Amino acid sequence: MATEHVADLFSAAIDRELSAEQARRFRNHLDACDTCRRDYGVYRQSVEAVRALPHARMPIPVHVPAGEPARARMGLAGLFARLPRPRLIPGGATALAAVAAAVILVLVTHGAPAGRTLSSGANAPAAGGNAGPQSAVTVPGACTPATSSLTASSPPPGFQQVRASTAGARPGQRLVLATASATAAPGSSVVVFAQLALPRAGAAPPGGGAPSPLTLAVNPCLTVSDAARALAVAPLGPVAEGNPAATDSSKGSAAPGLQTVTIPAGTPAGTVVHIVATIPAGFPTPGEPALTAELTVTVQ
Amino acid sequence: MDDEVLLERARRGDRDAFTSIVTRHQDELYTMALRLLGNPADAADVVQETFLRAYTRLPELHGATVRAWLFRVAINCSHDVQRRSARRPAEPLEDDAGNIVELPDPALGPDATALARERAEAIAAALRDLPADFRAALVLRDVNDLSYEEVAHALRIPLGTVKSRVSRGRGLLAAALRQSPVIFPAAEGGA
Repeated sequence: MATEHVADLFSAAIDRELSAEQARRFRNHLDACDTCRRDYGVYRQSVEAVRALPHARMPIPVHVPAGEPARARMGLAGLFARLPRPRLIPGGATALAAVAAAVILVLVTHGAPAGRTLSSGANAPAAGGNAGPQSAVTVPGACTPATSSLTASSPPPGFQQVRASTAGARPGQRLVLATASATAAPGSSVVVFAQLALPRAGAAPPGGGAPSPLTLAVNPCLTVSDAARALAVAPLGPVAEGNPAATDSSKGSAAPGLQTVTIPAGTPAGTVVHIVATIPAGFPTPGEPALTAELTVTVQ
Repeated sequence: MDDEVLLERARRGDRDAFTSIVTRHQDELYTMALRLLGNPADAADVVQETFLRAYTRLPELHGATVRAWLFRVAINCSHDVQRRSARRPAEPLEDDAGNIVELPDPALGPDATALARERAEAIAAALRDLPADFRAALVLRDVNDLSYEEVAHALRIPLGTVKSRVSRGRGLLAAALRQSPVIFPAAEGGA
């Protein structure tokens, strides 16, 4: 029996799937062939090493949706198809409700200087302060960040405009807002990455360092003020590999932290769209200050 | 109470029954995903998403054991997570609270624990270097101890293909590990 023929039987030998005759011939060959005997020893020890790997433990609680499975099948499947999927939620079954209740609105600033007071929480900073809020269509105090979420992630590759915000009173938390570009054409969609990295309870690194791998992601409230109009933000659908802006609903995987804003056709060049992500004061822990991050996109 | 009884109760809306299924299978699904993806955060995502999908599709479960079906869903979730996740470097085998998420043998002393960890990391790295198809079949078979039939169901491929992939995957893994002095100290670079 040639060496390669015996090697072909290594796996079946380990699984004890050789017939009695095959097993006898296999053993006889190993007895006579040093190379095969050594190779089989390595092969068998490798399999045993894999089988002896320590089993891992799911490090965070699994969230089980509320509602009966049949209802969930009819009602939640559609929701999952449209919203970022809630995952890794230590808080339990309120998450889906939080997703559904999340208020995410964007207003467009037309021809305004970059920066204006944004009314999105007790400690929301005045970003420039030379133009007051106008036509705000959101009620910031009523906005509830979507506590359902994913493990925290980074903006997709190619998102060059990134703003990050932290606060000493929010140890370990990091609010990130990002877009691929600082400009947009009328009629185009701007993909916005907005996400708060929220350390799992009891796991916040002191001093507010970079988010750890198992931090939870929270979708913040998005608000902007404008003299003219308000635009709704839609969750971005599934992301095709290598292209965060592409969607393919058949894949069924929502894009984590990504929303889209459509710039209306006919929007004059020079219009500045202010996008502000806000985590209201007291969320998720009473006493925590508001946290905001802002960037602008100019219509060209 | 076996899975099938829990499943029937879960189908009738018993959330506690579904939670029992979660408790019973979450660690083995996490282990599978960790070995497939090499990243604890991605693996945890896979487990969470697997149970969300499972919950919404309970009425569709026919003709398979709960366990095999969960692995099938988890494999699909792993593919999705892999697609949408920028490839991140392997994370340390601890969660952010410092908990060891891979369970060492408590009877081992510090030196033996360190060696066991080094061995585990070498094997995990070799697994990650396998072609994805071989890795999935091998992990389900040798890490999770699924039968060949269950692996075939999870991967939706014929039984013969499963056996072929496991065999070839084991061969590639052995070739890689025999170069590792941590796994084969006498080899010193491989014979």
